[in-house]
Amino acid sequence: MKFTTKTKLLPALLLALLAIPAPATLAAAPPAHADPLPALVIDKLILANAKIEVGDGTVIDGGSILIEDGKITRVQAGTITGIDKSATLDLQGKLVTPGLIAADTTIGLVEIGAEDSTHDDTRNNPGSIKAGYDPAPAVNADSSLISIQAIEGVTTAAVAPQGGLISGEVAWIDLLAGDHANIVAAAGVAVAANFGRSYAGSRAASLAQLREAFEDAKWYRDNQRNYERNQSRELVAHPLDLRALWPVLDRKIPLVVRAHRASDLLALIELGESLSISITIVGAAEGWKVANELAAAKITVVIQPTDNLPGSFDTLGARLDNAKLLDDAGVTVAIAHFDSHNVRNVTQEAGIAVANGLSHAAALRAITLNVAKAYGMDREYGTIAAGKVANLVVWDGPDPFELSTWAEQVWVRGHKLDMTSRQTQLRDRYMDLEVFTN
Amino acid sequence: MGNVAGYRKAFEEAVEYQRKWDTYRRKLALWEVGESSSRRDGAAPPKRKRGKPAPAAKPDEKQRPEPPARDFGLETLAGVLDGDILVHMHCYRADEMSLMLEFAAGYGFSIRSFHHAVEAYKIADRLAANDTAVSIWADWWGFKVEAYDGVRENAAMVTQAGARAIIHSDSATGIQRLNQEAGKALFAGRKAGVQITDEQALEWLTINPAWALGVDDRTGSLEPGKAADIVVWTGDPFSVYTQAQLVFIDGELVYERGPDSRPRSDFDLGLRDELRGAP
Repeated sequence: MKFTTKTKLLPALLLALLAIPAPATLAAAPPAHADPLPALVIDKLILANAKIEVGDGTVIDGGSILIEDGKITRVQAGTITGIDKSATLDLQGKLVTPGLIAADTTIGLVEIGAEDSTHDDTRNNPGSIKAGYDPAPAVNADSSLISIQAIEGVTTAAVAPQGGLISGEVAWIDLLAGDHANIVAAAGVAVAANFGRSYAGSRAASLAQLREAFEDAKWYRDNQRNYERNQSRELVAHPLDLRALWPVLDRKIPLVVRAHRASDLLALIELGESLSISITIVGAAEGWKVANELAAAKITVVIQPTDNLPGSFDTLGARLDNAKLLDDAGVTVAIAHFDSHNVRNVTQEAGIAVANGLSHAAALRAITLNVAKAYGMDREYGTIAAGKVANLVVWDGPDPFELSTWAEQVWVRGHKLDMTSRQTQLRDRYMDLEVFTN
Repeated sequence: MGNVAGYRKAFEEAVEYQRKWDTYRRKLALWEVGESSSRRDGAAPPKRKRGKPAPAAKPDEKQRPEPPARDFGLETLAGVLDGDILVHMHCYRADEMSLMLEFAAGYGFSIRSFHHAVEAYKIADRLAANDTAVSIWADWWGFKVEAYDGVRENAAMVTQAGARAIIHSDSATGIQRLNQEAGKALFAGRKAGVQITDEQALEWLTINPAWALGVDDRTGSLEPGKAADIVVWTGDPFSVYTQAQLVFIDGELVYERGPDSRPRSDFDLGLRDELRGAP
């Protein structure tokens, strides 16, 4: 990659400005020796001569991307010129994709799986309706998971609480390591729920309980004063939990439900239609069995393509070509790797989906735009287009799904990552063991 | 450190167990040739007349030495001390592996392979010096404290130091494409500047595990005399798109990719019939 600039800065200073916008340092006061002349400040970056995989299926060869204030403001074939206070980075034909988006993670909420003291992913009160649990304040920007995923191309994650029938609200994070003030891009972008195993004695009873929760959320909204006067029927959950369901009822945010069995997926389609709410289904091992119904209901489905085993009686129909069959039926398919410590392997999942019939373009969409759609965040995320958040990945090879291809440079909200993580530091410390013996 | 106290106790018992059996076997051998078990070792055998067969010794059954009670646990450890049984040990951390290498040396046996060995890269030189292999994941980390320092380059760094790496998976999905697990570890190593060849990465899945199990004289490489355990791939085995085309075990074709080639277990019948034709 080669830098050129439209200012007269010394190259060294320029590199310093461009290369180290670690968010935390940006927020700090400028060093005393910083050049006071505002005219010399570079606040716009042009990525030029890129092969741009937009994320919606289109490809722009030799294209350019203009980034301002953390947003993409222009994308076009050819060069972008005449932009003041800008630097241009020549990508020499390299592939640029949107930042990858990880669905249904606990990044920032769980540091070590088997270490309870590092868990903030569940609200620990009795009762299965925990809709009002908002994990956003618990997201830890210092978690080692963040840069470990980010330097491999994952720029954004849906952080979803676990547990209960309704687990809580989903936070949407940009993987800005160390940036406590800005890591949460949006809180409450969805409500997460679990369906399939029984929370109320039978799955039918669980479904009824889900329905009751929404009915009570409506009733409570219409009868708050009666509730305050103690003139209320008994509600299935605390008012704050019911209140959290209002934006779902208003179709402002989706209900994102983890479920697998075909009958459960049909029950959720029916629930969505009867309540007139938007539903995303996560897991959906048997999604292919009801692909036409899912397509007709316009439900986005998030699957893990390698889930091909009957690990439970809910997933007897698990198969490797689930993504292809769903896509063929017209379902909006997103792909995930449901291991928060390794969501970076989502490219491998996409490749395996392709090896089993999904088109390459659909697979790329499945780890970018369609994940954004699953959480109703596609207005700002998921493609390389003007107005979207500047989450971008430059790859060192032509195919991001290949195991030999790595992210060469990642930008998160316009910040150029320094491409190191706790793991690269561990690796580098022990790369030459003679250091320890001599 | 309670663990090591436990190991030490067990191996001390094994040494004692081994001694009891050695004594018994010696007494038995003497009894079988008609000698008193009270004879001192090294005494001359009974004289025989030249050219004539030895008189049929009729050992007194009442004098037959009693064997010690068998203990299968201690018998196994005694086998380790004798070098007949290879040791595979579950161990994640560098300090714990180092400790166990010293422990084993103290009892005169070696550890053939550490399993999981998430921190093997920190002591790769020590593993090489002890000729101890490590069976490791390509990229799993963080699920417990001992796995917190996992790095993608583990296998490559171990190989670079001259020790044997084995890529394994104890996940029911990961094990289905161990070739890709090795691929991830291979390319991570190369990206970090460790020059690993495709052949070395293949050894992570073939001859190295065969060696760790002590069956490398029978399988693990394509050589005359070895079992015909062979995979034909649809392409580069380290590509995400490559699949197994033909699989032979002991010369028997057990899998051929094609429509309806997915194996069907008894469990599948009547429950997964719709998956006929699935890849």
